[in-house]
Amino acid sequence: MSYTVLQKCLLVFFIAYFSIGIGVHFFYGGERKIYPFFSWFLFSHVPDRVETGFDIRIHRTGETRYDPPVLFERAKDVYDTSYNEMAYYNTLIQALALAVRRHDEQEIMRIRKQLEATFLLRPVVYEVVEITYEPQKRWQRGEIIQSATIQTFETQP
Amino acid sequence: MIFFHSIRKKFETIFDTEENAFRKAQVLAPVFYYILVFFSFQQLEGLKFQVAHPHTLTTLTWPLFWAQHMDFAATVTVVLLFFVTSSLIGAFYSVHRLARIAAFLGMLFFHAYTNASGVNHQYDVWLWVSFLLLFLPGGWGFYKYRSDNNSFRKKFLLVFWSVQGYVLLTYTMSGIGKFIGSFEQLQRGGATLLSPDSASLTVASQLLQMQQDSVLGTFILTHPILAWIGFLVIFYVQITAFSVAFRPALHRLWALFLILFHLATYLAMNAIFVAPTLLLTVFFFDSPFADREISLKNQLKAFPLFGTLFVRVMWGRVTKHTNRP
Repeated sequence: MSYTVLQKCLLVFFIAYFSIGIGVHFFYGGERKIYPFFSWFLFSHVPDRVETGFDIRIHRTGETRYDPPVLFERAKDVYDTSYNEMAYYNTLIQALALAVRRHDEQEIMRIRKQLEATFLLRPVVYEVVEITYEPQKRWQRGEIIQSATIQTFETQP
Repeated sequence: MIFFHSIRKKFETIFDTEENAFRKAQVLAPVFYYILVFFSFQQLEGLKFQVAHPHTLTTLTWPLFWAQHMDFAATVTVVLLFFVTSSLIGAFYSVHRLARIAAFLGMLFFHAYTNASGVNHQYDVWLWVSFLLLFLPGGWGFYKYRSDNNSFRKKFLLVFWSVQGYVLLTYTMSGIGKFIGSFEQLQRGGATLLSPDSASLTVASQLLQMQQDSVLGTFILTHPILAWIGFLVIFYVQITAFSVAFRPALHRLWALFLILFHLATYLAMNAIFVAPTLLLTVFFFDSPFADREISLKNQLKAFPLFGTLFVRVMWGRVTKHTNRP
């Protein structure tokens, strides 16, 4: 391969990588890939000052009842944290809430099975909630502006 | 156009005449494969654990088309063992293109495997660097002391520079992402990069997702303005990174800035990006195109967008000061 051809090949590579990468963002959004191309748009959006998301509130585990119920991330004695990271649970919770919203029973059962397998005691009564919060205050003090129950579940004994 | 023409001329001159640059590049290119060997062997540490804890490969990308007919344990074993073997071949015979093709394939399968249970960007840059190194002319070891082979040297240095350019391009794309993201947020009336609480919002949101405190997490939430200034500096370093490929004076410095940026994201958000830092050290800390003797003034002058301003502010004051009676 001559030097000029090599120059052209590499120029095509740079243009293609850049265009496809940026295109991934506009066509797919988020952090998805057109494998193996990626937009590198990491942390590209500053979160809103008031965010809305899904969470789980624990009402009961075994014989212990929580009044008021506690948010999933603050009830670390309820589930196995030795193997799974919190990011794993977050993904499950978001997927479960969306499946409930879609009334997708098959998907609900699949995610519940995965989630409930990590619970250390039974039965566990928990509700999927939609919460509104300010990220800084929720992280520092666990403050939630408001929450609305989407559905309540109880594990099988 | 004049700018690009002058840059092209400058690099053509380096590619043409710099014997020293050529020698350095010849030493550094195989280092990539040596690290790949270490890196692939390191993966074997987790092999037994992964086989014992099988999980579903949810997104089988095209390089792993064959894995749909195999169970998890067999797939992970084949991928990791091929990764080790191919990187060994790549490292041992790095002067030969066939060996580099093997190393690239090993990296491709491993990369596809790391992306099969969810999106993972850690090894993206490694994959594409192993691809770009395929373009190195074959058998460079035989030409080691033949400085008269001009075409060979030019091709070698061009590919080496392309690797540097590609690594820096990924950071610029990330910077562009932040710019576009801010523009989209602005249209929605949300917080943007220019909001003084942007860094603390980003950090709080990430810590909430991970549910893990970070070394600087609390400090950032209580000192949002300081964190925001750091955020803007990071944005500047990222978005201008690709232009630094054309500024050899800044190769070493920008690599250091980018590694410090990775350190900062770990300290702030527990987000750790190990793999790209190795590439930055290998390809930039002793960049064949960088002049180690360059003065601070000339380095500052080369800074993208603000170079002249920095020099005027700093050396202007110094001059005024020394001229005082």
